[in-house]
Amino acid sequence: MPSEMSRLTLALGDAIRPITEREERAATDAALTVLGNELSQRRRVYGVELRIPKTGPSANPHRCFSVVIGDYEKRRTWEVVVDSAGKLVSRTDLTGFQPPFVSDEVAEARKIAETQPIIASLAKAPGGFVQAFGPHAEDAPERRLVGLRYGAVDSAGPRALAEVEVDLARQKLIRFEDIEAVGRGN
Amino acid sequence: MAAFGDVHNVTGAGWSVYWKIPIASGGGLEIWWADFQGHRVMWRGSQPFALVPYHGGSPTYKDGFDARCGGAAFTALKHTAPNAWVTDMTQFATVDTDAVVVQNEPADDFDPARLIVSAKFQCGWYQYVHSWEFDSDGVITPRVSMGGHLHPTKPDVAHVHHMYFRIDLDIDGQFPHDVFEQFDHNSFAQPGGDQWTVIGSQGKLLHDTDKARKWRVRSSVAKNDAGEFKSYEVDIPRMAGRDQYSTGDTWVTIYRGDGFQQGENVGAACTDKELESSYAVGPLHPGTTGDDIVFWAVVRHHHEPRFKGEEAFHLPYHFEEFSIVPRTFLNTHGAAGGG
Repeated sequence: MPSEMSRLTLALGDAIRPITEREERAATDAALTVLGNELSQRRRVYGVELRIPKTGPSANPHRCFSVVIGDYEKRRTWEVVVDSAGKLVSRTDLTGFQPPFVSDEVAEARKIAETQPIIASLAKAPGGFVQAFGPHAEDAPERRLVGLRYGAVDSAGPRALAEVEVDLARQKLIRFEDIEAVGRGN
Repeated sequence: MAAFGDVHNVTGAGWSVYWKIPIASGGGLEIWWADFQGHRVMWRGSQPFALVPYHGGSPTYKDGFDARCGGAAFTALKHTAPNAWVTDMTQFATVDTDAVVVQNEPADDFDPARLIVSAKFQCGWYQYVHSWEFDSDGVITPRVSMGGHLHPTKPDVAHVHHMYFRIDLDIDGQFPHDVFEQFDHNSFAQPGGDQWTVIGSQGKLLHDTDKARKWRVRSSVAKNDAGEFKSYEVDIPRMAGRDQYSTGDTWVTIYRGDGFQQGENVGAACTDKELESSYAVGPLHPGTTGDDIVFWAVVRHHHEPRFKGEEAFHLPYHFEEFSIVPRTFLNTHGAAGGG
């Protein structure tokens, strides 16, 4: 171990080794069990990460796992922390917090949005691309709203074509704006 | 080994630090367990979000962690990705080590040795570079750069980047026994023209460059060999001011865990008011036990675009930074020690 490291960090030792797939699965199962009936079937596990509780020099650091779960139907976001035996350490209601969109969510939002012919045509534009953003949500921050920016790359570089917002809970397109037209008007 | 979310140890310039790019965050690069010469300095540091209001009242993006108001998450790029509005998915990092560059710069005739950990993130058309420098004088310099591409439909519109850092210093690892203090240069009286004031409760603090204002996290138990309490100062240069979106300069609060109060639910109205109304709320205990201090700091840049010229195709990276500087942490130059 390098001499630069403090005894506190040295004490973390093996506790901070990379998480394994088996640990990830076990932590996910434990977290879902903890939340049980509080979750609807329309939920998503956003990720499992190592979590080392802050401990003093005399205590042995132990290996815990943070599981972030979103529930579309109940519009809740949870962080459940379990230890390596699957025992609950803490559960925190993070409702309102929107984890970054995962590729499945972007695909689902696109599927909903692109039922509209005008949006489907944007998706097929030469050099087309789609990037996600977080919409305004002051009135209802717990909603899982996916913002999609449609753009296209041409010889002059990338340009924005349109912005779309999809409510994944209601499976509904809620906003479409042709921002290329806005840009031309400026 | 996971693609993202594991911690990675790097050493150099007298430092040992870990870096991490979390999975369900969107908040970019994190630094964990930063130790200098065998002594813990920082439990965790990050720059999880930015507020970017434009002239004209809209847009007012919140970028990064819990992106809102039209803002986007910080998505890791390969460090070799071009400085551009990157849309080519092959330029995005598939594992965290694709994104991060670690440099060990030797001391030279002017600068101390430095350990530098950097990563590049796409955020809509913008890019942010998170870079943390740890030098052999014991100084930490968190840096953030803006690059990428101007707003595609508002390339001429000026805006301000308010970039928020969350810093959890644990001076010599002796949490929860730290206090937070504010420095003011009030006059040239000698002695007594300069003053350190203990902050007695959590809350928002304002910069005052006329008073050379700075802050420090000071241990109430750990001392150096001279019997002085160990501390680290926080020096924040000011290149732009507060506004109705970014209302403070520093917020002092306490550690409430690593999964809570990381920037979530800040920016509901595209402002930072939640830092004051729900994060930095409650007492501190400087006269008794001390606390496990966490502070937030903002660095800013007002960007008047050079949209017809130098920034027409991409934004040359522009760095802003602040410093976390040892005071009485070291026994002598470059030598930490004490209790």
